[in-house]
Amino acid sequence: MNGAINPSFDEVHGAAGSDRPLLDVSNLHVHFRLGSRLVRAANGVSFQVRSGETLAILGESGSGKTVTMEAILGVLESPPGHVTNGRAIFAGQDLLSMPASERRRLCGRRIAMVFQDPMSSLNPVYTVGWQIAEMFRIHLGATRSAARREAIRLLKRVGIPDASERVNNYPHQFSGGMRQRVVLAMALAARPEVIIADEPTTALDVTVEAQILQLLKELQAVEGIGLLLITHSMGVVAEIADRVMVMYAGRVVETGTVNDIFARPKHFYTRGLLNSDVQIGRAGQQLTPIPGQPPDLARIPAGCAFHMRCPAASERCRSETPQLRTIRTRHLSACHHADQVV
Amino acid sequence: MPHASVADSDAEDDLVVEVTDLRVHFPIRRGVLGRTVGQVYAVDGVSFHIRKAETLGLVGESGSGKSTLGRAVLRLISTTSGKILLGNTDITHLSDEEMRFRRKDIQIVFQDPYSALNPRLTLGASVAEPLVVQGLTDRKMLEQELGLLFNRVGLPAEARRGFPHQYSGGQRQRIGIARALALKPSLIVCDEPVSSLDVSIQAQIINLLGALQDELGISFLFIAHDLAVVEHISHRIAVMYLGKIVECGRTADIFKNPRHPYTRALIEAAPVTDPAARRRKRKVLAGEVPSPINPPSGCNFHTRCPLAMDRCRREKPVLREVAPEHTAACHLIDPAENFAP
Repeated sequence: MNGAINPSFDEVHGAAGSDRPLLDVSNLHVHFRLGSRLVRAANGVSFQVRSGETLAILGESGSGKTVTMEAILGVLESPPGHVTNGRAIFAGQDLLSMPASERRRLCGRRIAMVFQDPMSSLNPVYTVGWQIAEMFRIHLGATRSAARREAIRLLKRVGIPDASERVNNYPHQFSGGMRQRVVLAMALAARPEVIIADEPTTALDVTVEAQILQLLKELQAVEGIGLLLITHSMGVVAEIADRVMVMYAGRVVETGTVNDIFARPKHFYTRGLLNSDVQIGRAGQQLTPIPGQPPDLARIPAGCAFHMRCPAASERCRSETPQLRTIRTRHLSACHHADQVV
Repeated sequence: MPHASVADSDAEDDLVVEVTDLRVHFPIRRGVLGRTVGQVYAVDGVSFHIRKAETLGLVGESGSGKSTLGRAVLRLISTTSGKILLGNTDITHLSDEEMRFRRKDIQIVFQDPYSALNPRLTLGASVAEPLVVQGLTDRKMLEQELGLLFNRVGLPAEARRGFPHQYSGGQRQRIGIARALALKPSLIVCDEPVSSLDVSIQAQIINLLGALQDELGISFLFIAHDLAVVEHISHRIAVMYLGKIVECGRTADIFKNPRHPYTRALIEAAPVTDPAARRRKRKVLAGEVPSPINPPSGCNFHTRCPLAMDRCRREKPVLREVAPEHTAACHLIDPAENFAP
C-alpha cells in the first residue's frame, strides 16, 4: 500500500489485524458561526477507537478536542456550532446523520460519557443510587429492586466504601473524587462499549487523580471497553494511553503509540509540548516554552497552522498545509519536516 | 529556575517575611442568632520565613489551607492568632489605613487572571491602578512606568490600550504579574498562577517569574498543587496538610529525601510524563483529605497514613528538625536516624 501522501484508514490508525473499530470517525469538520466570524474548530479530524484500547486526544485549549467529542455525541451547541462534514460510524451506523432520538438511545447505552465536573452529570435532587438505577431501568428495563441491587454492586465496583448505605446519599454528600467514582459507576451501568472521558481527572487532587486513573485503567481492561480520553495533561496520557492523537488548531497533527509520541515525536508541536512540560526530577533543567500563542480559529494562518511558533518553519510551511503521512508503522505526522524533529 | 546562591546566603536580616504560629479559624454559624457551632481550622499553627530573592513553594491538596494562608499573609483575611512580620514591621494587627501603606511591599498574583482584571478597564488602566492609588498621578511618568512594566513581562507597550477579553490566558497572566510588580513589592504571593494555563504557556510564565526574581530580587510565596511546578520554581518547599505544615525543607532535600509519609505519597502520586516508566502497580494513597471542621485526633494524616501507629491516633506530632533546614512532623522520625518505612 503506497500511502505516503494519502494514507488509507487502516494505515492512519494502525489497524494491525481484522478487528473492526468500535468507533470510526472520519473527516469531521465543525464550524461555529459567531456574528461575522467563522470559527473553524475542527478541520478534518479522523480517528478510530477499538475495544480494549485507550486513545488519548491530547491538545491545548482551542485545539478542537472537546468540540470533536461534542459533535460525535450530538451535544454540540447548535447554533452556533455546525458539523459541516464528516462521519462517525458506530455499530454500522453514522451517528452524525441519524435522528437525535435514535442517537440518544444508542449513545446513552453503548457509548458512555464522563466529564470533568462530575456535578454536570449528576442531578443534585436525586440520590446517587436512584440515578445509577435509572440507567438500568431506562436502558435495560430492569425492575426497581433489581436496579437498586445493581447500583450497589457498581458503587462497590468503583471503590465507594459502605456502598449499601452510600447508595441513599445525594451528590453533595460526596467529595469530588467520590462523585467522579459515582459518575464512573453510572457510565458503566449499561455496559457500554465505548467510554468518552473529557478531562476526567482535571478537577481532582493529585492523590485522587491517581486513584481515578488506576480505576479507569482497570475497569477498561477488565470490561474490554474502548476508552477515548480527552486531556491536556501529558502526565495523564503517559499514564494510561495506548495510542495518542495530538491536535492543534482543529487538526490532527500527529498520531502514534504512546511510546513513540513521547520518545520519538515527529511533529515540532509535540516536541514543543514535551519540552515545555514541567516534570518532577528535572528541576535543574531549563524549560523551553513554545513561543507565542495558539492561533485565532477564525483566522488560522495559511499553510501549517503551527508555522508561526515553529523553530523549523520554511517557506513551504507558510503556503502548503501539511497532510498526515506515515513516518513509521502506526506513526503519522502532519509536518513537512518531520524527519528533522529530534 | 531557582538559583541556589541566593537562597544559600543565610544572613538572618535578609528575611522578607516571617510568620509565627499563625492560625486562621473560621467560625461556623447556625440559626437566626448566628451562634457559633464550630470552627473550621483552615490554618492551624503555621510558621515559616522567606528570605530576600527566595521562593518558598507551598504545596498541598484542596482543603489543605494553602490559599487561606496566602491570603492571611496579605492581610486579606484576618488571623485568629499568631504573628506576621513583614520586613521589620509586625503587620498582624495593623489597621486597614496603616496596612494600605504597607500593601505596596506585598502583592498577589491570582490563578484566574480573567477574574482578577476588570473587563471594562484597559490593561493599561488595570496596571496603573495600584500606582495611582499610591500617589503616582503624573500622566507622563505613569505612561513611562507602564511601558517599562509591559516590557518587563514580555508584552508590547501598545497592549496598554487593549481590553482583557482580547488577550489569551497567558497574556492576561502577564498583565496580572505586571500589576503585582507595579509597586516594586518585596514579596509576591502567587496563588496557583499557572494552573489554569496550557502546558506551553505555563512554561513561559514560569520562566518569566524566574527571570523577574533574578532581575529584581523579589521573593515569592508560590502556592500550587502541582509538585512538578513547585519543584521547578522553589528554593524551599513547605508541604501543607489540613491546616498544618507537615514538612519543610530545601527543594532538593524534599524530593530526594522526603521524610513525611504524606510528602512521599504526593511525590508518588504525581503523574510521570514517561510511558516507559509507567508503574504497573504504583502505590496510590487511599482516601481523601478529611474535613478541617473535625480534624482527626492525633496526627491529621493518620487516617490515610500507611504507617500509622497507635501513638499517631493519640498524639499530635510537632515539626522538628530532621536535617539542617529540613523539618518534618511525624512520630516515625527519630532525629538520629533516617526514617525508612
